[in-house]
Amino acid sequence: MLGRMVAKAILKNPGVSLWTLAALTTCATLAALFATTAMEVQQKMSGELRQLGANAVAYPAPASATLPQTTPAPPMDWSAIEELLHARDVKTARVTLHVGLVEGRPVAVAACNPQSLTAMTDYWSVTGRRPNGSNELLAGRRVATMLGLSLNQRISIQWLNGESPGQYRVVGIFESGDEDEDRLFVPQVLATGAAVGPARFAQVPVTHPQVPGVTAGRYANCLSCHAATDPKIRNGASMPLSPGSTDAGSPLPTTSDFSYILMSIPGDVSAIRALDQAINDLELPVQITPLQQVLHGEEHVLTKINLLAGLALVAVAVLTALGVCAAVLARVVQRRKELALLQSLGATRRAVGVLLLLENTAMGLVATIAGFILGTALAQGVVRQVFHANVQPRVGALAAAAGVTLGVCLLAGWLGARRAAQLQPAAILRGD
Amino acid sequence: MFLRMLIESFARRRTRKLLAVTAVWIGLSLVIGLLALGLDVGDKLNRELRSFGANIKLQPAEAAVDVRIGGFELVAPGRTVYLDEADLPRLKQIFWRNNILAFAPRLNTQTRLAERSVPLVGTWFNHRVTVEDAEPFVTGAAKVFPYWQVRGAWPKDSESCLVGSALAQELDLNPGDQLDLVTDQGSASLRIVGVLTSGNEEDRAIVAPLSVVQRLAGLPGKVAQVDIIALTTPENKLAERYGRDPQTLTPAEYERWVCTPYPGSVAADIQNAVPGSSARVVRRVAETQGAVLGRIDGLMLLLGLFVLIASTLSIMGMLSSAVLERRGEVALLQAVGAHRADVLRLFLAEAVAIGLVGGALAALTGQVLGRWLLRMIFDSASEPHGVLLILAPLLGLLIAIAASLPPVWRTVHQPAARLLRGV
Repeated sequence: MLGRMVAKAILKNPGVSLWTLAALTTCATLAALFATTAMEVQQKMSGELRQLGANAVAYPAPASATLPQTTPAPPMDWSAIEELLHARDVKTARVTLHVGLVEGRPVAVAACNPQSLTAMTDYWSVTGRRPNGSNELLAGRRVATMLGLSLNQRISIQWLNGESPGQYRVVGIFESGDEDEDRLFVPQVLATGAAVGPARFAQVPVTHPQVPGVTAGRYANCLSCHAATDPKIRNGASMPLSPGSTDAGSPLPTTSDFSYILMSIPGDVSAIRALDQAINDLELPVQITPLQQVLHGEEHVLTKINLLAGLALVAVAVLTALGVCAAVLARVVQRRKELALLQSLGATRRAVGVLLLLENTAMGLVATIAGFILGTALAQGVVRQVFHANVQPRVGALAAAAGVTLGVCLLAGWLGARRAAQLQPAAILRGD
Repeated sequence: MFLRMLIESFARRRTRKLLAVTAVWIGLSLVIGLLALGLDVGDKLNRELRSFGANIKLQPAEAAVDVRIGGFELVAPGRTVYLDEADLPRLKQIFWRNNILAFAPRLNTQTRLAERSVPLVGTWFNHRVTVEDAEPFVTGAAKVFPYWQVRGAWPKDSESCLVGSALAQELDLNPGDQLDLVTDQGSASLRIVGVLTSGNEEDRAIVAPLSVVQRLAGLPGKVAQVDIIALTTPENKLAERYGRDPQTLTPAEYERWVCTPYPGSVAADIQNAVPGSSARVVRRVAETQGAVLGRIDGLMLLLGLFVLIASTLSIMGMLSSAVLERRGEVALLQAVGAHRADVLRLFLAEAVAIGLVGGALAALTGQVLGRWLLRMIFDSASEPHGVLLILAPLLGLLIAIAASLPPVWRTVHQPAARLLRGV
């Protein structure tokens, strides 16, 4: 009976019902739009920023937290960790660093798969191009300036670990603004973990002594230190090298290689922590270091965006609430004769109020569904326009649309019921 | 006659008219508040991007190229080239001085602690820089490295320091402990006031006031590097072309490049101001900022448009309902001989008055609301926007007319007798 009355009341006043429904649908649409956009922006922006590079690095776990540089980890088998990372959809790039000699000058040479490296360093500004072939090389701007490298120049890199010298062509010079600019990047991954001992260091020629070499650093016995201090070497002689000890008194490393994995982990800090926990559970000798600078910035900006979206949602909710209230009150005025008749037939003011609330709730439910569909479609348009990606219908957005719309409905219904309660049936039915 | 009817209409229905003005006022205040927010959001978000840290790095032009392998470092003699701390106030005197939001110098050395060599980093924490012909500028690590997490407090004097979290764990150091640092050039006794987690090399170092480290390193007045946060514009094709080959730019394009705060042009300005320096753009930060700004601008524009449309519709709905309630009055006016045009004119005049008054009030409150929102979200102030003072009454006027015209038009075209019967 009540349901029929509600349905008839809505259908009998199509004009004002449609108007109220339109106001409610606008409210639900905007609620769904802002909720979907806020959720999608978080994900899409995070994904977008992930394409710019890594948000964490996996290093071999040091024996000592403070002095890993004097006690490096033994050659690392990364296969288990890489398997785990790929299973978790983590983009990776394994970088192996070597010390090489270019025209007698020591340089850091990083070996990495070019495709993986591109995925992690999309932000580099490259003049020329990135390497495709195994004998192509990408040079950091600073090291290129130091070595006087130019595009298409061919260079030979001698390896301190005894590998045969590599011949490379410089195909690109990049700027990154960080320590990568001090390195040469080659695609070919050299044999890692080759033990470096006196025999392997022996007779490495020094052919470019203009740079006075390297002063007493931690490689107390390294080639460059001798080049700096020994006049014979300055004149182009060769000299034997052997691992010694650091100025801190710790032994030098037994390998010249050092590997780490750049990781682009989907999600935020919690995802990185979860991965770190998974690695700890498997007792893998790896330490995950989140890139705090990137993560902090991302989190901060996303918080602000969500705050803005939330604020816009509140403003829209207030405005649409005003609109819906006005529509509902107009509806009461238009139907005053009908409501007066109901009261004269015995309906209590409470019953009339309940009828109006139910009418509003019914329209609110219809508006919620229509608004959710429309809001999701609009969010799709917005996200496609801004991020060139699709959105998924969100349960959270449906909940937001339902919450805001039904809240507005109940508020407007309550105001309408109050207005209806003030009607004087006799006077209205008389036509006063 | 017309004016008297208009005045009487307002006088006799004071409450109704007051409600209508209030509806326009509240609605437009929100619209103007959001517009005020929207006008500043790009700039404020850009400033928020400083949370990514320094986007320009200043080093001595002759600094050596590091050869660093997994923490092992070959230190070349070129490293002995430093910048002068005394030159740093020049950063606030360049063409883009207002875009320089913060900077912090660094000087690294080694110190002996607990029988081992420990990295020692010197920097400003909250340093007051005196700039000629300008207000003093407070800057330092607290502003340049917003991602540094400090357990305890930031050092406030030259006798306190921070200790990296990994080092603190290794050596069981805590805030309140005293450290006796010794180098070849001297010694210092510093109190730990905080434990620092940065996710970088500072986690394994002691971070102390720059002046202390300069003394311990025997390098008074010298710094090895300056990290700078600058407000920049995302790079576009012009900036990319300059980056590839500056010679390809025409004089007009070059002028445009110089006069736009691209990371590269700000870096070039900085480099010219500090003798013997080389300013490098930290690409990761600059590109991330560009990506964020590029997306956010478009997003905020679209969302703002939806808010404006929804707000306008809502205000129109409110005013329309007020007019609909007066259909009987319209019919009565027609019944006593008023022409349709007269009725329309009367209602539109009322709408104009309501729109103008509501809009004028909203121009003031909307600006206040916008500034409050900006302060709440971005914790920063903004200048009032003169254009909104004009826009608000105009918007009020347009919305009121657009909201009143259709229902009055419909009503005057309905038979008066039917309306008076209440059918």
